Order: sequence, then structure tokens, then C-alpha cells
Amino acid sequence: MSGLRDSFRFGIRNIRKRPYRSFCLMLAAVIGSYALFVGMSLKASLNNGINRMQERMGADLMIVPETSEIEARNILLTGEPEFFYMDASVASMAADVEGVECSTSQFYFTSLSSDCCSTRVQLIAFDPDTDFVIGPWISEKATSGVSDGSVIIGSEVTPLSNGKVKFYDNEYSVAGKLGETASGLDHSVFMSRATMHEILNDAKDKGYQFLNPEDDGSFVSTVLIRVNKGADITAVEKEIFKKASGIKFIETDKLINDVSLKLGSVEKIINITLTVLLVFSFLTMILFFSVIFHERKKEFAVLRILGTSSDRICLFSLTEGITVGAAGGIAGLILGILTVFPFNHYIENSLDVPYLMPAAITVIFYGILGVLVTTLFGSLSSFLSTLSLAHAETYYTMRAGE
Amino acid sequence: MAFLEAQKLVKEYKRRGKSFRAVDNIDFSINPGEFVMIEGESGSGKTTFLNLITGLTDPTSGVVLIDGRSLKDTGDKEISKIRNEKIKYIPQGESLLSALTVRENILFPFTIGGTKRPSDERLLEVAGKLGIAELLDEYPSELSGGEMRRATIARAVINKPSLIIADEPTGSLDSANTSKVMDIFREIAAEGTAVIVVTHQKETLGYASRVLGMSKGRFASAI
Ligand SMILES: Nc1ncnc2c1ncn2[C@@H]1O[C@H](COP(=O)(O)OP(=O)(O)O)[C@@H](O)[C@H]1O
Ligand SMILES: [Mg+2]
Repeated sequence: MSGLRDSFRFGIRNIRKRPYRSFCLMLAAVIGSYALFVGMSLKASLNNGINRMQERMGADLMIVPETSEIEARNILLTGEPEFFYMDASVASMAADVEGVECSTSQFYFTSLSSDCCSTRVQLIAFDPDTDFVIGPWISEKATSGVSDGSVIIGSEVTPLSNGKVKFYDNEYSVAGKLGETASGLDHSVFMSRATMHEILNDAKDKGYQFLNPEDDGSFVSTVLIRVNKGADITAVEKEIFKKASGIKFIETDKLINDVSLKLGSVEKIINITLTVLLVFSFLTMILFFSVIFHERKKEFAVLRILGTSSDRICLFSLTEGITVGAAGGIAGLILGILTVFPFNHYIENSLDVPYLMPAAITVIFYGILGVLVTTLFGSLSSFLSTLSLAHAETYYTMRAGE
Repeated sequence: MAFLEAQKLVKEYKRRGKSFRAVDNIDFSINPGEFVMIEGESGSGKTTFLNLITGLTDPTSGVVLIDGRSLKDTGDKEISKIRNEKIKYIPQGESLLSALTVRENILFPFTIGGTKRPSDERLLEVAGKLGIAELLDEYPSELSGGEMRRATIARAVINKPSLIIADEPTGSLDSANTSKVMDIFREIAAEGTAVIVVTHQKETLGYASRVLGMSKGRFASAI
């Protein structure tokens, strides 16, 4: 039977003949699907971000100079380049403290914005012999390994077109790239102490002095510690504190916890906004269908008189609801895609918490979900409007003067 | 046998909590080719009566028989099919679908019913007789009141139904258009279709083969 095709055609004709009404209905669907897609993608990216960060934090404890705690957090969370250091003796001392399974030290300094990448990046010298935090994330290893004179780049660092990176006018080959960590370390470049020495010399030649290259063996920025399984972190901290002064501890668990709390409030805002917009979208659709009740009452009465069965009238109206809901939903999805992808970095930076887009399949799922939900909204509200008509006897009759 | 028959038909409505009979115990029947006109004041129950005999409203009591079969025993789908093919109801006021052209409006019952469309010759013949042949591709919003009314009549008569019912079809028309429309109904009746026309214009009553006066829900007199 051609019933479905005809009711579809008739529904489309009705939509086109009443562009204002259809536009408003579609707008409600656009808002619904946009909110759903953007909201869900944001939430997933945030959760994905913190999970990845937690996974990738190899150390339990970080020792940093007393005055540089905020800077150290910035490096981890936002990738804001920082420079600070303390006496290297802390590193060897901490290694011998009871409860410490392994430890390694790193030195932080920065590049110029005119260097390799469009922005300044965090430069981090690490010790390949004792390192236990960076090595495990290297996802694309070059054959050469981390030899002196080459660097490992974070996942968000883009090399020059020749595949190299440039600091203070000298180019360095890229020996490897880290997988995404969702942390500030994605914007960092890692190297050996010897490579750092070269860069420090170049920097000094150009008038940027981080520390005297001759002294670089005697300073570190941070000491990263993994404690023995079951060891009491506070006890370890106390022990280290006895033997050193001017230092501060950053516990990874606490850091993640702080981020989680912040994330929780961001998520709450997203949830509320999402709910409000979805409810608004649905109510607008229902409202619109009832506002046009009178217009439709006459239209339905004519359809009845011409011999349309109740079922078929529901089908006509459902077609309109489904078409408007789906079309608006798809438009909202397109808008959502145009928001989420191009503004990815902007969102990441403005939220100030780890942010990592989930797998494509998840994003696709949210897109489909958004369109399905608004299609459901459209069909439900159109169906409800016919339902209220079908139960009123006025539906069948055309009163005088109408 | 009468094509349509109503027995002891009653329709009660409530007004300010009190129920009253808009149609009060009416017996009625009509044969093929008959042209019945129902005349009565506004509010006397004419439209309610038409809604009852077309199955658009359920009676409070009494029965409506079409081809000898009670509408009570007929489901929504079947009654819809009867209205689609056999009983063409021209309601009061405008009843063209604004999303469709005049041609599509006239052919719409066939779209709904999934039945065979009349030939183009038949369409042009009817449209020509009603003077709307040039308007077939216009939308209703482009038409005058008289043109819309004639398009509605074209939609009703195109497949030569068993019964045509028109509720005040000439209400808003000038006298030239009124006689044009009434002539068409008389012609259709002459071809064997039963016709019921409701009016409150006494001057049109001459077209009918039988006139019923309605008052307070009853047929008061055969005028
Ligand atoms: N659906 C309804 N609900 C309540 N009262 C109605 C309804 N339809 C008609 N009536 C009342 O029934 C009476 C007859 O109405 P109607 O059949 O439209 O009269 P007519 O067509 O002769 O002008 C009027 O008093 C009208 O107000
Ligand atoms: Mg009336």
C-alpha cells in the first residue's frame, strides 16, 4: 500500500506550506540535539581526560621547591611553561629514604614562542637511566632512541615541516612522541641532560639565562618518587623533610582528587544546562503543537470528513513530527560538530582541567543519540497533539462559524 | 430500499451543566436521486444531525443505517471508507486543505482511499462545469469564497457518490453563485445521487424534491 509514502508526502507538504511554524519546531529540535551532542561530548572528554591523566601519572610524589608548587601544578595541568629549580642534592638524598621504590629527577625550562612551535613549550630534561615516568608513554619510537641531541615531543607538539623541532635557533631531531596524557605534558618536549646543556648554551648566547650552563649538574626542578607498595606516603614525606629544607610535596592522588572536584562542578553545570535545554526543547515542541491546535482541529476535521481514519491521521501528524524532529536534530548535530571539533583547544584551555576527546565511535554514538532523541521529541509531541484531538468529540465535527 | 435511514436519533449535549437534546428523536430516510433540503434557524440542530448521519459523531441513542447496515456495527476504518467513497460531506465554511493545490484537493480523497483516480477528462469536465478549470493549479489562498465553494463541490461530486450532504453551501455566496451551485446539486440528483442540503435561505427551497423544517432538534414540518 502507498499509505506510508502518501502520508510522508502530505506531511512534507504541510511542513513546507507553513514555514514559520515548521522553523520554530525545527529550532527546538536543533537546540535539543545540539545540547545533547555538545554536552555529552564535553562530559566524555573531561572524564576521558582525567582517567588518562591518572593512568599516565607514573609517580606517587613530586618534590618541588617550596615557592614553586603552583608552577609545578600548572605544568602538569595546563602545560603553562614554567622555570624553577632547587639544589640537586635533594635527588640523591630522596633516593635513599626508606619506602622509596624508585626516584628520578627532571629539570624544567622553556622555549621561545618564536621557536619550533607557535607557542612557548615546556622543555623538560630527564634522566633516561632512572626515568620511570616518561618511558612508558612513548608511543612512536624512532629507531635511534633518546640519544643526546634529539628530543621526545608531547602529543600536542607539532614539529617543523622537516620533522625537526627548533629551540633558540638550533634544530633537534625528534626521537619519539608521547601518547596523549590529557595533561600539560602533552605540550612539553623531553630531552637528556646533555641536550639540555646544548640548549641552555644557545639560550645564553641569545641572552636568555635560565641558569649557568656550567652549573646545570647541581640543580633539579623536581624529584619524582614512586613509593613501595603499601608504604605510607606521609611517612616518606616526613623522612625526606627531615633531611631537606625549602621543599614542598605534590601528591599525585591529591592532585587528581583536586581535579576531580573541579571536574565535578564543571560536570554539574553541564548536566544542569543540558537538562534545561532538553526540557526546553521538548516543552517548546509540545507547546507549539498545542498552540496550533485550532488550526489543526479544522484540518483534522476536514481529513475526517474526507474519509481519513483515525489511525491515518495519527500517521500524517507523526510524519510531520518525525520529519521536523529528525531534520532539526541533524542540523543541531552539524552545528554541534562545528562547535566541538574546531573549538576543541579553546574549550580545553578555558576549562583548565584535563580534556581528551573520546574515541570516534563514542562521539558518533552521541551524535546519533541527539538525532534520535529529537526525533522522539518530535514524534511524541505530534502524537500527543493528535491524541488530545482524537478524544475530543469536537475533532469530528465542524461547528458553525469555524 | 432507502440508501440512508435514521431511527429515533438523539444527540444530547451539556450546556451549563444541564443536558439538552441538540437532535431530538428524529426519524429520517432518503432514497437515491432524492433532493432533500433541511431548513431551520441557527442552533436548531441541523449540523449535529448531519454529523450523526455521516458517523462523525456518535448518537446518544438511536441508529443510523447505511445500505441497511447500522453504523454502530461498523468500525472506524469502514466508516471512513464509506465517507471516502459513498457519502460526500461538504461541511459549513471552508474545507480545502491549504497545503494542496485545487487539483490535489479534488483528488485528495483518492489519495487517502488508495482508490483509482478519475481520468483527466472527468476532472476537466467537472471543473469546467463548475467554472474552475483555470484554477486547478492554484492554492486555496488564491481563490475567492465562491471559487473555493465550487472547488469543494467538485471534490464531492467527481466520483458520482451515493449521497452528497452539504451544510449551508450557499451561505456566503451572491445570488448568481447561489443558483449556479444549486443547479449543480439538482443535476447530480437527477443522475441518481441522493442529495441533502441544509440552508437557512428560504429562497433556495424551490430546488428540492422534499423540504424538512427543523426546529429545536426536531423536524417540525414538511414545508
Ligand atoms: N459539540 C457540541 N457540544 C455542545 N453543544 C453543541 C455541540 N455542537 C452543537 N452544540 C449545540 O447544539 C445546538 C445545535 O447546534 P447545531 O447543530 O450546530 O445547529 P445548526 O447547525 O442548526 O445551527 C446548538 O445549541 C449548539 O450550541
Ligand atoms: Mg450549522
